[in-house]
Amino acid sequence: MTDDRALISRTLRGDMQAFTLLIRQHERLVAHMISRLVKNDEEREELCQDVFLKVYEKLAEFNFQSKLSTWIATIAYRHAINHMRKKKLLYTAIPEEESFSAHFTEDANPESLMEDRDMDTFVMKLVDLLPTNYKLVLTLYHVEGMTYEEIGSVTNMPEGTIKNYIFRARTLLKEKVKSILPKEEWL
Amino acid sequence: MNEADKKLQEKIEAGFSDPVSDIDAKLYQQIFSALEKEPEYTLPTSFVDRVVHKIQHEQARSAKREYFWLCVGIILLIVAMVFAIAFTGFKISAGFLSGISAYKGLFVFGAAFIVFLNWLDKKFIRAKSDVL
Repeated sequence: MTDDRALISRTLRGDMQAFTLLIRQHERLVAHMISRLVKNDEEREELCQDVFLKVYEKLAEFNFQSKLSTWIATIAYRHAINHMRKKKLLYTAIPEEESFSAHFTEDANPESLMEDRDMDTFVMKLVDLLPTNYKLVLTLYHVEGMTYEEIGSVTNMPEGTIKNYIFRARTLLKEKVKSILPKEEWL
Repeated sequence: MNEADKKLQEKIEAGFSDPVSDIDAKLYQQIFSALEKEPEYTLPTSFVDRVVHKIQHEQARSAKREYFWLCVGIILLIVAMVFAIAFTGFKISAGFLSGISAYKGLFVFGAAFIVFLNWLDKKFIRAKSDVL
C-alpha cells in the first residue's frame, strides 16, 4: 500500500492518479459506513461521491494527527448523519435505554424477519432495526476493525460511551434472537 | 447492562468461551460472526472515474468563475476611474504629470507599440513554437 503522506502530497500537487489510488484504498470503508445507514442504492453512491469530493477539497487541511482512514471515516460519518437529518430519514440517536431495550426485544416480530433461516442474514436484519449510532459503531468495530479510540475520533463520542454502545447493541441482538428463534435453532 | 452478558462478550472476544455448554455463548458467537461479515454493498467499477470527472469539472468551472470576476473587477475599475475623472475634473497637468504632458503622443505611441509587439509575438513566434 502506498504511503499516505506520499499520496497526499502528490494529490496536492495535482496528480489525479494519486487521488485515484487514495479513493481505491478507502472506497470500501466509505461504502460500508454509508451502506449501513442509507438503504437507497442511488443515494448511497451519490453520498460516497460527495464524501470523496469533500476529502479532495479538505485534503490540504489534513494534519496527520490521526490515520488517513480515520479522517476519511469522520467525513463519511458527518455526511451520512447530515443526509439522514436533511432527508428526515429515520435518524435515531440513542433512545432511553430501558424503554428501548424492552421495545426492541418485545416488539412484535414482522414476518420478514422470520423468513431468513440463515443466521447471518437474520442478524443483519436485526442490526438494521437498531438506532443509527449502534449500527455505526458495530460496523466500525467489527467490520473495519477500528479501536474504541479511533471510533471516538470518527464519531466524536467518548470511548466509554462507544464501548457501552457496542456491548448494549450485542446484548440487544442476543436477546432478540433468543425471543424470535425457536430454541432448537439456537444451536 | 447485564454484567454477566458483558463478561461473556469479553470472554468470547478473547476466545475463552465454551459455546457447547452455554446457550448465550453460542448465540453471541453467531452474532459476532454475523457482525464481522462485510456488507454486501460494493461501489460500481466506474465510481473512481466519476469522482475524478466531477473534480475536474468543478475545477474548470471554478477557473471560469475566477476569470469572470477578474473581468468584472477590471471593468468596474475602469468605470470608477471614468467617474472619478469626470467628477473631480482631473487634468493630466496635475503635479509631476505636467512635465510629461507635452509628450502625450510619445506615451500613446509607446503603449500602442508594446501592444503591437505582443500581437506579433502571439501571431508568429508563439504559434510557430507550438507547431514545433
